[in-house]
Amino acid sequence: MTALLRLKNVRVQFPVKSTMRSLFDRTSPASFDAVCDASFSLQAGQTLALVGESGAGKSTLALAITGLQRIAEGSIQFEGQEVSRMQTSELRDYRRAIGYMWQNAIGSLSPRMTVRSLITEPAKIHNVAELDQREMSSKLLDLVGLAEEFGDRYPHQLSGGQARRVGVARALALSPRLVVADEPTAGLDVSVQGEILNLLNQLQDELQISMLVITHNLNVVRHTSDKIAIMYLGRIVEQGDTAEIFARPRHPYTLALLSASPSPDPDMQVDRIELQGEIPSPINRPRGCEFHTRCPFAKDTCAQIPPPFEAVAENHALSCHFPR
Amino acid sequence: MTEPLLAIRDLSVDYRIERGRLQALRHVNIDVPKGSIVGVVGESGCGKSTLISSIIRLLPHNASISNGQINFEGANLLDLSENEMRSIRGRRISVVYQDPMTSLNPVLSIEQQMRHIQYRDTTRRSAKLEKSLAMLESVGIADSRKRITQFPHEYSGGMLQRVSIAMALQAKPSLLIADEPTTALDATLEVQIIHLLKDIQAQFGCTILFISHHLGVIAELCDYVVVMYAGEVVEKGTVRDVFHRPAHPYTTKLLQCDPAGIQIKTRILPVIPGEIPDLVNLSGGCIFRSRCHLAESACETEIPPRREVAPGHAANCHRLPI
Repeated sequence: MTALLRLKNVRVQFPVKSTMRSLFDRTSPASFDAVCDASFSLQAGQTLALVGESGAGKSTLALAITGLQRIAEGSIQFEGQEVSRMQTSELRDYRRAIGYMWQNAIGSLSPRMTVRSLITEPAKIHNVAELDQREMSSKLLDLVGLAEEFGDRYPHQLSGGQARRVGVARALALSPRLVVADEPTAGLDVSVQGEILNLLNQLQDELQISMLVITHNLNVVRHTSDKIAIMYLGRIVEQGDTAEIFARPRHPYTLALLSASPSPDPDMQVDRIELQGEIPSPINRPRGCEFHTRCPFAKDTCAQIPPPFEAVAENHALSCHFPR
Repeated sequence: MTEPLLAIRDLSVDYRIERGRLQALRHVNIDVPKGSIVGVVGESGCGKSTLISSIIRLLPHNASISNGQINFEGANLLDLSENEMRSIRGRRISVVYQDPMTSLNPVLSIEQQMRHIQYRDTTRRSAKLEKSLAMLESVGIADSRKRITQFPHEYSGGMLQRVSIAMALQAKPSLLIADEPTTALDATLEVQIIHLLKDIQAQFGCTILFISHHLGVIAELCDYVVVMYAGEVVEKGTVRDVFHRPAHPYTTKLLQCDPAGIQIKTRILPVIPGEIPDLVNLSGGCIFRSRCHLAESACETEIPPRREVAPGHAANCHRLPI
């Protein structure tokens, strides 16, 4: 079975100096790696979650996958086609095949357009005239569980959950094969979070789309994703099947993330792995294992030699010298 | 029991809006015992922000307090003059806001901002600097002499939140109000801030009113919890009582919805169907009835009274035994 999406050693770089300055000042690096050596594959109909804190490179990687961000090295293949080598017309077709749910649900909707024009806009951009606008919008509204009258509303008249649903409708407007959801539950109330996750699950079951979910909350992806990739400082540090990662997390960072979300049980004795300090700057990456500056289990080796990314079981790989 | 530090009695706040009178808070009663950490939990639109603004009397112009008292250190804050109130804000009661990136001034260094808030002190500039440095160190900012000269954009989110906590504590207030102080932070930093607040409470002995929508954080940090829904207090008690034996259907459902509490993988997560009712045209009856799976006829017409289910643990629901 060929993968729908396959990433191999993807590297994304951002400049830190102007071209002029980098000509004269050669002592410091001209760019830094926002994403380093990211490799994974996503099968059709599956969901993969990218998990990490701010600055981990999750959104940058997602933009690279959609072709909105140039990659410096590596390859991104969608259905066997190399994304970075696509011509303009191919890219247009490619973008039809991906739906993108933006992180800021309300901010990503133009405040001067009605919901109806917002969710039919993708069809206009791509010149899809197969459906009548009104018919298309009622179909989409129905699909995401919004009443017909929402078509006439403006974004400011929507609640956070409703705006998120409009975002889902927009992403699904052109029947994509892959949906990228950037923090689908960020900023939502606990009672509404479930609604959006249920909707995504249900749509995936009905329409057989693949999904890439980006989040900082491991609890969110436990119930939605088949595979998880945990990112730290632009690198995937642990990757595997969701069930396996939750049952046997091995990387200290994964353990810290898992224990970081406080449980709603006041008597629960947590054996918490608390990290010291904050994420280092990707401009000055730590030597050796990049996590060693915050790792409670770091030893001398960790500061010297970067750990290789190795499989520890079928469908479970990580980079750590001393996995738990 | 001794007099609580802050006692909110029967507080009701309305907003005048185009469509009429929006009843944002209705008959709210909250006790904050001295030296404790009290958590207020509720979802958007439950009145958490209105509650804070009422306590420090910084409500917008279209708001009016229609009823109630806010008793703090022996005085009703609602009776004080604007001048008296100024001597309380920042000195006796201070607030840590949600997003440190927007609550601090981007064009002033941390040193300037920390000096400005000591405007009441007549001490020398150098003494004020020393005091600021000591505060920064007590919230865990290393190398404070160098970091204090920096500007907010040179700090990371977690560090900046530590700075705002240091600033809030500078005048040694007896009440610290924390308005979702960890929401804008990453999970691993959230834990650090919770621990910091716990340490500070032990060190300075201040009382904390902690507002959050995150149940896990409340369970970990607080002694007492107040559950709010659509402008009313629906349940309150010790954290252990409320989280282990929730008495109000809203609390029960909220706890079920928290994805952190669901250990077994499921494709369908629990939700609370429906939406928060419109607070402009309230018809009486239980505020939660439209979303409650247990609602009966009495819930439609009568506002449920507060009922004690255990000593110190009360909920407003018709279905509870009298």
